[in-house]
Amino acid sequence: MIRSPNRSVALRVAIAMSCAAAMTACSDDPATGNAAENRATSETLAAALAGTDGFSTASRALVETGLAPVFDGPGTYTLLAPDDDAFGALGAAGEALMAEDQRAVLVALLRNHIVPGQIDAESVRDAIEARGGTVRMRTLGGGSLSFALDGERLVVSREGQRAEIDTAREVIASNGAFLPIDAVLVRPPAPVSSPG
Amino acid sequence: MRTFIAGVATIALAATIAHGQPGKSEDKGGGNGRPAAERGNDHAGHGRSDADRPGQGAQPAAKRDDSGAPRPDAVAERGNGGGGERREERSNRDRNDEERAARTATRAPAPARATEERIRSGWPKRSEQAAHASVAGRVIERVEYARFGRNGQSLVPGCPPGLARRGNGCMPPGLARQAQRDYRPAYFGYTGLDEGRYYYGSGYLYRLGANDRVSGFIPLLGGALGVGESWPSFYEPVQLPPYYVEYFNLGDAPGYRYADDVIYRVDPDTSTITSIAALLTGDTFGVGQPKPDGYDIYNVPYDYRERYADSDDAHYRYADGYIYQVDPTTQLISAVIELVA
Repeated sequence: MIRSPNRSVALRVAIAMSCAAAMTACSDDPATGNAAENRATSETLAAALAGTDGFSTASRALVETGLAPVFDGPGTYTLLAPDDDAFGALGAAGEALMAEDQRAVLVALLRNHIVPGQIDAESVRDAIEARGGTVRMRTLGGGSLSFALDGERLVVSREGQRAEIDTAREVIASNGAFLPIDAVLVRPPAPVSSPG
Repeated sequence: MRTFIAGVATIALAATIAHGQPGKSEDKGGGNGRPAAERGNDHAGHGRSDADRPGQGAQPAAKRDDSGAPRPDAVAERGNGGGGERREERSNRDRNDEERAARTATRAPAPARATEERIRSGWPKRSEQAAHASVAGRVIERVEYARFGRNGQSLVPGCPPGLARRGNGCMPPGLARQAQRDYRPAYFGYTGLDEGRYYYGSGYLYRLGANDRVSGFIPLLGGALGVGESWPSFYEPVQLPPYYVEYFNLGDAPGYRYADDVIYRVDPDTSTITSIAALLTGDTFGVGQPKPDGYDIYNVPYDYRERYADSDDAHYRYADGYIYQVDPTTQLISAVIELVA
């Protein structure tokens, strides 16, 4: 499907601007996947994440690992942001990730939730429609994420880990976007009986 | 982070099309319209070569190649001299953080600019590929690649700083008592390393050799390359392309470092890492080259979508501060567009 600038971009930018001015959600219809209608903000990605309920763990992780300035900066990124429940579901492994001596491990996990540029649910759906199936985006961690439709739901997966994108809560920030997901896409390193 | 980069991050140092400011009514889409611009020598004196700095290895200067690539048909100076003003601002490091925050908060879509030759002193040229592409009827550019440096992508032999060498090597801290986990290099984005036994500790990934001695190591982002850590002496400072310095507001060369597709800000006096400035894909884009895998979704920043919207004639993708125009049929890159005013 070819994205029509007249149909899509101009309208969405205009909506985004109006939403940004109001700093409120313009739509809560997850079926449409219209990102700009959901929430657009003049805040940076880091600030928007920090100010959104349910993402305190992800936000804290960015701050403690030193990645937050990246999302306050000039580069444009999209974060597939696991919500607090998603991190909670990791259990002890998730808690261990937050330890100071595990920050490099946590950074590696986070980098595989970051893709270059600014994507939103509508862009993802358009790409899936154009390709007739699964589409991929590379991550800033060296791998890639696969996006697909499960019925009307948008899902993202990586190496067997799968999450649903909460399109109703996606946020378009001034320098990127974040797409809420309900699971962590990277499995923390598993214990082994001995080195190697 | 990708193995095909073979030990270096690369960047398309691209001559790009000149465009008006995104959002303006003229010259929308497709990259047609105003004549291509040329930055010419506006970078002169902008950066210092490593050879200028004591204690830092000089890198061979890249040669400029004037071998006949068609030149843009007009010259458009970037920013009416604004570049010089920006350089002046950067010299005042104390104001940089405030300015950076202000720019970030209010960053307006900048006119994409064109360049012709971007290889500069201090940049070893890895390879050069001339390519000419017609964008809406205009011949635009030559693309060259340069390497960022040799930092990362491979194990540093021996023992890391602070780990005492004993006998035939050193042992990672806590190896004997810490519960072991399966820390594979690929987890940290290193897919080109050999199989073997690896161990994570103290912010490093260790390759274990005989008797669990360290045979090599990699300092990791967030660990040994975390905020507050000293930049390791075994990773030489490199001079990034001027476009990256400008796009990411990095300031003078002593104030930043690069390794493994990550740009860091450092205290110029102490080399302590003060922040992480940018994560890069490390992917190679160049005019005439295939679009890398993993860019299936339209990801152009909103500020630029009005101008760079996908159409039947052209698709656009963003990575590492550039927008790339892709031929929808061939999936070849047809233009590389810079985003700094």
